[in-house]
Amino acid sequence: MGRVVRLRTGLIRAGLCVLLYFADQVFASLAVETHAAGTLLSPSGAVPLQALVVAGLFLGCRLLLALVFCGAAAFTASDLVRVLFRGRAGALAKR
Amino acid sequence: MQRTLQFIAAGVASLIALRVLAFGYAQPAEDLYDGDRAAQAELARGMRRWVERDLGRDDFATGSDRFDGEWLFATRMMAVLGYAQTAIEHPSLRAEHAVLIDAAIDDLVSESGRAFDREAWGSDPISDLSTDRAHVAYLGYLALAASLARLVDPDTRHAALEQRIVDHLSAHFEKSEIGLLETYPGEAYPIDNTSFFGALAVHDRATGEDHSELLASLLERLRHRYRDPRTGLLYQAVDPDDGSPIDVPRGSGTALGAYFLSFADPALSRSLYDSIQEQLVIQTFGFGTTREYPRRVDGQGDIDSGPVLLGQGVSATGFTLALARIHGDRETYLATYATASFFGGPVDGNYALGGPIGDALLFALSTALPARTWGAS
Repeated sequence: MGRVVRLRTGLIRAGLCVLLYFADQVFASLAVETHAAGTLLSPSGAVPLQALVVAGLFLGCRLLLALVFCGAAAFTASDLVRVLFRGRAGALAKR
Repeated sequence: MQRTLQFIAAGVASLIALRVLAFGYAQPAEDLYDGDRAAQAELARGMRRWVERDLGRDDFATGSDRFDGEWLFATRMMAVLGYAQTAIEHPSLRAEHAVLIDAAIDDLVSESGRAFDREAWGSDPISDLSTDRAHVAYLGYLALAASLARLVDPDTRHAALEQRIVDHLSAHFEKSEIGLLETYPGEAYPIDNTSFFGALAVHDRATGEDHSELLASLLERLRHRYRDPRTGLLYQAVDPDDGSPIDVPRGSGTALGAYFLSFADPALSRSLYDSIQEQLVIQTFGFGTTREYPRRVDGQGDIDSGPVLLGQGVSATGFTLALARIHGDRETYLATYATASFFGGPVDGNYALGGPIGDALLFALSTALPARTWGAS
């Protein structure tokens, strides 16, 4: 049961990364099409709202992707250590 | 014990993941660094979108009419540099890129293209050729674009104008006591002058003329008067009357200046790059950035630096990309590209957050020619 839960959690993490990656690509293309560039480069901030939203979505999605990717790696590594300890504890108990 | 190990494993894994991300975002840069024709041609195609579009000041939003005009000018000028560099590296692109270069220069010299400089000086830079008004920024940058156009295609329709600009600015520099000319009345910036130093060297290569004596004297003065002795970086602004510094040495001006100087004096460019590496370049888990100000110097972002986030300058970081390729520093090139790619979001030769000026800059900077192109070791 525990193994199934861990597998499902791992798949959810990986799926979230893939989903965010594709969303990131979509927002990047949209940002190119809508000329959203002024948002970051413009010192005045005088950019159309639509461009601001698209640029925000792109950047937000990209930062979230990085966060989720690194977070997924961290939690997976932490889970692995826990599994190793449980396995060791189980082996000691059998002995 | 288990908790501690879990915590350590999570920390190590997230740092490794960060490096994997940087590695992934840097991957397209391997081909660009190696001068791969297809990778460079993709950027050239992306830039075509802007060259063929009727851009105006309204396409920029700096909050200042003059700066909007400067960014419009910089977009076209950097497009010319990108097209010229790729044509020089891949002669099979020459014919196609020569057409695009001429089109971009048409826009640079158009009424709207030179309006920002005319408004600042109160007189037109082209009409002022052979007068006592230098217009070194507009004419210096234009000279670099036009001299490269001439190097790519000796029969370019802009050859006569390029010659007039070089003659005009050379005569002014011969007379200059401080070795620099004014960008706008009462304002002098070493960086703007370096564009003409690069142009003069390219002009001599294209035409066979010899301005080496003048160039050597200008470079000597730049080296000794306008580099901060402590950091080795170029002062951003100086007093046009006596050449004394009125701004601190900065990353954006030094890095762009070192890029332009690579056309004229690769050794000086290399020396400036060494100072930038020593003082400003930082790598964090595979992502490279460049500080705008030296350590222990505080400063705000402005139109030259772009946004400055935690001390790291957007412009300085971008310009470092060019220097890394010019001076054979693959590691810095890849790390800097990883940052540009992460925040810029490349899509088929354009950048999600690049726009006209970002696309043009990244096109020119990522295809900057290695110093060995000009015979440097």
